[in-house]
Amino acid sequence: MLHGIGQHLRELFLQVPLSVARGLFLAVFFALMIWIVQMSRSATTPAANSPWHEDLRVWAWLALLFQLFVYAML
Amino acid sequence: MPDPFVNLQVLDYFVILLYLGGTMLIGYWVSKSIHSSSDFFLAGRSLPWWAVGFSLVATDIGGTDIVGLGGMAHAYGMAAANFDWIGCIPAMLVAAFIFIPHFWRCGITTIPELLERRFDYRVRSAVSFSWFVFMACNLGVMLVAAARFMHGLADWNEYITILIVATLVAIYTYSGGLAAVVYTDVLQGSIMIGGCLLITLMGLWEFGGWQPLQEAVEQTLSQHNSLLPPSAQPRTPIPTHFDLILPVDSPSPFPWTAILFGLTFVVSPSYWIGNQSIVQRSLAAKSEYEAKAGYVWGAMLKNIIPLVIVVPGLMALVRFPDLAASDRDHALSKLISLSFGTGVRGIFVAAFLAALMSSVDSYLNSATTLFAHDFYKRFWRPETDERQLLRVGRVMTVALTLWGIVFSMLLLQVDAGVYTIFQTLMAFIQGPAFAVLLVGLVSRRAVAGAALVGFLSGVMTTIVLFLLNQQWFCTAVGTTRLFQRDDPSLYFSLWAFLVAATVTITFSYGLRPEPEEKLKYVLTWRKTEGPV
Repeated sequence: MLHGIGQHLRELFLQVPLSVARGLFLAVFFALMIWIVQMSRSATTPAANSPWHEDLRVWAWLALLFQLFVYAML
Repeated sequence: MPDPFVNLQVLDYFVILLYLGGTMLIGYWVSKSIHSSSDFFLAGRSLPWWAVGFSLVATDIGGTDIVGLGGMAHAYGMAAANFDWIGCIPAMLVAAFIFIPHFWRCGITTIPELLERRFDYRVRSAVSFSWFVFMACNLGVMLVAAARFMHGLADWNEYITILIVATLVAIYTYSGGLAAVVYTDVLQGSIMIGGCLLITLMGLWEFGGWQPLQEAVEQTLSQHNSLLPPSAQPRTPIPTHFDLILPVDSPSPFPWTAILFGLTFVVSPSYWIGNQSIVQRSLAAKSEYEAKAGYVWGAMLKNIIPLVIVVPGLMALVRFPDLAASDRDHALSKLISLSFGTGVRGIFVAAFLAALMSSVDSYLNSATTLFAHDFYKRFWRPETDERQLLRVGRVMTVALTLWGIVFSMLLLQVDAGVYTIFQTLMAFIQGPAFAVLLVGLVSRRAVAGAALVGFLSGVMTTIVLFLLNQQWFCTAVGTTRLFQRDDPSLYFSLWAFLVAATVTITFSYGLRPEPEEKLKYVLTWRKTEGPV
């Protein structure tokens, strides 16, 4: 039975073109970027009057941006 | 074929000794501030974000990664980089903004401790015991990585390498606890990244840049493929060694389904959210913001790791295209031996030792923490004082070091890639442990009895899947292997996670709900302040 399930899933995913798979990978990073940018500033800075470089959203975004570039290119 | 191994020269040894001396000095300096078990296990909750971030990455990138991922890159190409990119960064950011602040506010020392607060002592003990066994075994795996690497590079005796590395790590972990582990990780992380970056840049310089390397790799592969019989020729389109996303029927262990569903959605969050040896340094941060910032800083550092580990693996492919599968763990050491001069080899060995020691010390300290808090203090001596717990931590550090030495010597007899052993061990518990933690943190309906059954079901699932992929077992029960690839550990974790989560949720509806005091540990989506 397990062989049957495995084979069925395998054939199902073989139908998915690699371009769609790449889209799913990129969607992970996109979704995180949207989620992070809409976070409240109080959740990402140590104090209300913190300078921009202490806002963790900036650095989280940079990390994701690099990933987006890499997965779009390779 | 000439002997590929080259002895290290005086300059190389000087560089290595310089690194080891620096590590021991930091360990000694930190140990002077250790007076209680809180100092030993949580560094007195005083760690800054930059140390937490460096320590996260240094702990994650162990000797197994440098040796194993380099070998994987030789065999399968850039797809090995998925483990450090999509297999780390998304989960680290989710952890940074959702889970780590919650853990920090709960004021816990271990993740299983949170499981007792949310569920009961049985769930805590089952998960803690599993992690403890994994960490203890992993000590041996990492020491084997060291032994094999040094044997490949300089023909060092594998048993002596194990003894030297284990003894040095034990000395500073014994004296300085988590603070020594984290601050030595900063030095080790810097040397590891700097050393590997130097090798990568020098290698790219030799090849003439990225484009020539890419052409050389593709030419090597096409020459190799043309020698194969027609039946073994790869199908078209052929995934190249520079593709991150591989098709489902790829012969590598990294088809896109395993990477996305197994690695990104299960294994990676389990590791960054539920692994005690990882999370422990953020619990020791001096504030909630510093704990979050440490994870974000770690995620940024993670962007460059594959470039400095996987790319040298590709260079090794061009130099040694005929390396046997059993020798792929030696790919990087051969590259360093034959391609770089004296001094540079010393830097790389120091970087490797740094990566290895930074992981061994973390697993050693975390396994000790689990034993001291989840077993000794929880069951045997609940009234124990800080000094007694500190003593227990130190005795356990010595005991685990001795175990690691013995186990690694046994593992030396096994003919398997070290990274594969590590992934298989991890797959046994990571998925089920994370399922229980996640369901407990997001669902108010989850109850202790169901969580315990769910966790055990998940572990059993992994064991059954593992057995169904072993040829000897399939022959004995008269069936064929379940998976069509040699290393399906990502699939093990995925299925174990799904089974554990499903069982926990389903059984919970048949049992009485937990009281309100347990439910305050469930995550809320509104902003909360202060301790839970």
